[in-house]
Amino acid sequence: MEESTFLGIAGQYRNRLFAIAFHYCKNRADADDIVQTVLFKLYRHDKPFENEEHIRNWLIRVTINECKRLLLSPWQKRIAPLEDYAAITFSEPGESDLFLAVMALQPKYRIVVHLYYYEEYSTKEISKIMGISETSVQTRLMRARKKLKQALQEAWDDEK
Amino acid sequence: MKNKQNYQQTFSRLTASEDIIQEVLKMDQPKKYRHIKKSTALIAAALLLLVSTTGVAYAATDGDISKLWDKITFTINGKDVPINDYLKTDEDGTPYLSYEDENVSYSISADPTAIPENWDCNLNIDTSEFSTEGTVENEKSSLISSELSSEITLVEYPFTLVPEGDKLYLLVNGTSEKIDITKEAASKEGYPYTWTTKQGTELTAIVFGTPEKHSIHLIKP
Repeated sequence: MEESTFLGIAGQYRNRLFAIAFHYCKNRADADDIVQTVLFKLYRHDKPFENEEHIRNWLIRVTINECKRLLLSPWQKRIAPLEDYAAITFSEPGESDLFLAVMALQPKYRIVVHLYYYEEYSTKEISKIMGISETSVQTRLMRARKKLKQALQEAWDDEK
Repeated sequence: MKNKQNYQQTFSRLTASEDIIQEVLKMDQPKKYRHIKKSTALIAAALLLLVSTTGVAYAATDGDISKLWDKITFTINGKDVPINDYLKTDEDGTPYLSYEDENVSYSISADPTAIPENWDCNLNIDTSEFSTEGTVENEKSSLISSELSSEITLVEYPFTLVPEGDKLYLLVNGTSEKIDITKEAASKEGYPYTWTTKQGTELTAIVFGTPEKHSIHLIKP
């Protein structure tokens, strides 16, 4: 891939990919490593992308695969400075509550919630990206919402 | 809609390192990445601290995860500590090891199916170096892995080393291929053997030494 093209795409997507990786590993260092690996694969990618959506889906799918690969290692070790979370500043008190509530979810719920609420994918699109049935996505989303509602003690609407 | 806005605002705080793109541009080209130069490989091998006296392939076995932790000797700064004091359970009920002090926290999980039965597992946390070192070995003296700063990988070598007289042979498992590696193994570069795992990862192991005493250094991709 041309360097200028790579710089444009990488600059546009690096934080979004980081957020996805962080949802899996809850660790800044690992998330950075994953994003670096994904961007390296993008840089070496020599097949043309059809459109913007194709690039986005490809990047997110590769990021999720890299996250799974990390989590499936026989041993996993994370060196997480305690201030890792504390370094993230929020402008509203509710934001930190939401952040911690999401981080407390199981990984399989976290990623579905993120793809739905942040990336605004439909449940059908998430099912394709994750390689699971749409019913499973809907179930995970429903359970995650229930847990978030309990944790936040406020309405967490079942948005359609 | 409010939930989506709140969510997007909250998680927009997560940002990747500033220099990550420049780091990618600095990374090696694919050919160098896939075909590790011997000089590079030696340096990497030294960093990985992978040492073994014989290459013994093993078959991963199923096992009970709670039993896995029982067979790990856990030390902090070289001193034995009871592993049960550091075991926690995640949301799925899976035990993992957790250590925290004022500077750093470690969370270590393991896949029991990747740990062969009847092998000794040792895990040490060095709090001054922020590092862990893990070993898996059995009485036949094969030490599979140990690493300073990232995940520890257990590898099933696709070959067996066979010393015969003053010769050292590499037998490719499942084939009749028998390679005389005596000369290369005795050299500074060693004898490199590259293969692709079932997961599609290309790995290189370098054999060093003599028929009497030899070692295998695994190069991670």
